[in-house]
Amino acid sequence: MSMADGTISADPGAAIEGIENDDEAYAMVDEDAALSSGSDDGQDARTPPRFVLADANSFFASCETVFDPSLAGRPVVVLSNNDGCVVARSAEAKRLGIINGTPWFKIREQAMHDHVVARSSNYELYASLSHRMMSVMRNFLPDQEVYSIDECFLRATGEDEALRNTCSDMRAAVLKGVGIPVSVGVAPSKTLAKISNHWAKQHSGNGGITLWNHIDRKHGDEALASVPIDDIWGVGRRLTRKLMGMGITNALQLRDADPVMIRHRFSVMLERTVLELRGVPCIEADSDANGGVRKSQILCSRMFSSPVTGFETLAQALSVYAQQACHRLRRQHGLCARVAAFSSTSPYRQNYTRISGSVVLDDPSDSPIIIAKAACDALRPYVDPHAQYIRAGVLLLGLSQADSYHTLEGFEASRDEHELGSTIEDISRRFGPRHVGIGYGGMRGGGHQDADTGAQWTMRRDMLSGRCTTRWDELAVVHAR
Amino acid sequence: RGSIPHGSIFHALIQPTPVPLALESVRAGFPSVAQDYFAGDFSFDENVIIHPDTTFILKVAGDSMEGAGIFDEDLLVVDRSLEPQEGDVVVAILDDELTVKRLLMHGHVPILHAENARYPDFIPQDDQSLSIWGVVTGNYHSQRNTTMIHHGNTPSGHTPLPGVSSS
Repeated sequence: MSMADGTISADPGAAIEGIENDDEAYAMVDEDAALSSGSDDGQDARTPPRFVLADANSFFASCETVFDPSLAGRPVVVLSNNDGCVVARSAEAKRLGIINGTPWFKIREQAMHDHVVARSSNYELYASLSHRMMSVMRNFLPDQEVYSIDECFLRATGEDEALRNTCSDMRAAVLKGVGIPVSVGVAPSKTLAKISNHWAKQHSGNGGITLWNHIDRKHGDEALASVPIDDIWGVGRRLTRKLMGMGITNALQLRDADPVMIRHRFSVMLERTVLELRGVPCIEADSDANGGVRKSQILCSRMFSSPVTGFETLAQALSVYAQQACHRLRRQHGLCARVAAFSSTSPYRQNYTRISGSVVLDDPSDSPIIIAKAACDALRPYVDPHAQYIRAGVLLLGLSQADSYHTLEGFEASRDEHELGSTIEDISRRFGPRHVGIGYGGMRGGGHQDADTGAQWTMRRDMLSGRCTTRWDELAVVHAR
Repeated sequence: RGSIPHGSIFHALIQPTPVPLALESVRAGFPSVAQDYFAGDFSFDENVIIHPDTTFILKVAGDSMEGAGIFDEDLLVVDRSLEPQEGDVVVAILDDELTVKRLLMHGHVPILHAENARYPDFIPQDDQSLSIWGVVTGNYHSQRNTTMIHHGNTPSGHTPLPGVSSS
């Protein structure tokens, strides 16, 4: 899934051009898996391990429908933070030709005419239902790697038919128990599982489950030939152009490319993709997504409800985002060495500008005070006092584990010695988010249902559904009449 | 290549659970024996929610189920993973809304029955099928004239009744 903004983005790197990785998925080669499945052990009758990719269909729209059955079968779009852009669509909305990333104001009139239902993104609800969905699936196939809010890889073994039955039961249990429809792809490698899953969504009549073996048997090379190069997992926009220049335009051509040549001209990562397309699993579990631990960076960015001018106001927002990022850093017991901040004006207005800067911390830290200050310092020199900024964000880089950080005496990490961060978190847990914080991060005002602060730049979410599973005062209503 | 020596597994199994030392200082007499056994009170939901992943809490609006002891404003505990059986109180989807009714069989036709004489039963027409959202496993009805406990909200002060003392 791609999201224009938002904090649950599966791939935060994609949100900012030019800052670090977009191939973080390829953390390490799973040598054991590559070896064991590449060679057959002769007498060993066991089937090689398979990868199952389960992915919710139109996850956000499906979540909205769980507690509001009137949305079933209707075109539904979910808007980004601040009701800016379309970030998710139901199948019916896709059929109307609405594209992800489209600014809502541009299509609002036509959408109203088409009876499209728009909802503000209710991430609290989506996260809750995601958690439930993942947990149900774990009961069927235990070795689970949660890859993003709406998809996970599971490992499985066994004969095709038995595996199809297990996946079918799993799919039915999620649909019945949580109300979310999922599609399932089963293949000898993750990349092929992704392709199979995509196939499951495009071709009906397979019960939402597609086995790569079946596609391969039925369609042969035509199947991969029908997959455009930019639809392949791990092939970004940047690589697409270069590959196209070499005449590689679909998955079949990439599969048949010389892996050594691919490694030399591109990267080890793309070489692995070539092998994966041949059915050799070599992409290891992505600990980046596993358990929400991010190895390389933590991003927190939002759009403002109204444009912001001047450093002082911008600093308020940065301080709040820094604290949110810090919260996530602390949750994974991490330290960060560098803090970057960025801000931009509206790309739909004239004089679009984008500013960014970064500060290297004296010592790696997890202190919200140090990090919030660094974020402000990083951007201070670049702020145009007259520009109307529409979004801003804070990025924590150079992450390390707090437990494994050892240096010479006198060079210890700037830990949060006063336990300020954990105190703020305790208070948030007890009284709800953003009742206390650093700077304006603690301001409580007339925001929506106490979720937002009262500062002028906070998010606008006018079409927010109830947070039915996490807030006692927003429970879904069941009628007795 | 059995890399795990059996001894270590056995050892792990017989490892005693560490018992914390007295949590508070005791000046005289015996330390409280009960302290060693205290591991926190049970929670209400772990007893009433069997499948946490598929159980949802909904709020009741209306009086059509009073005969089943379900009142306006009650909290309804609904497990979606259960297979609806005849006689179950269920949450059904009627007219695009979540509705609570009792599932009964009229011969071979499932119908939705209201537990209040003022409300009619819902009998699906030939081409209709019932859409069941989940099975109600219980409801919580507050017996006190206080609003449902919201976080941070303390119940408004009650004046004691004359002639009634509380222990």
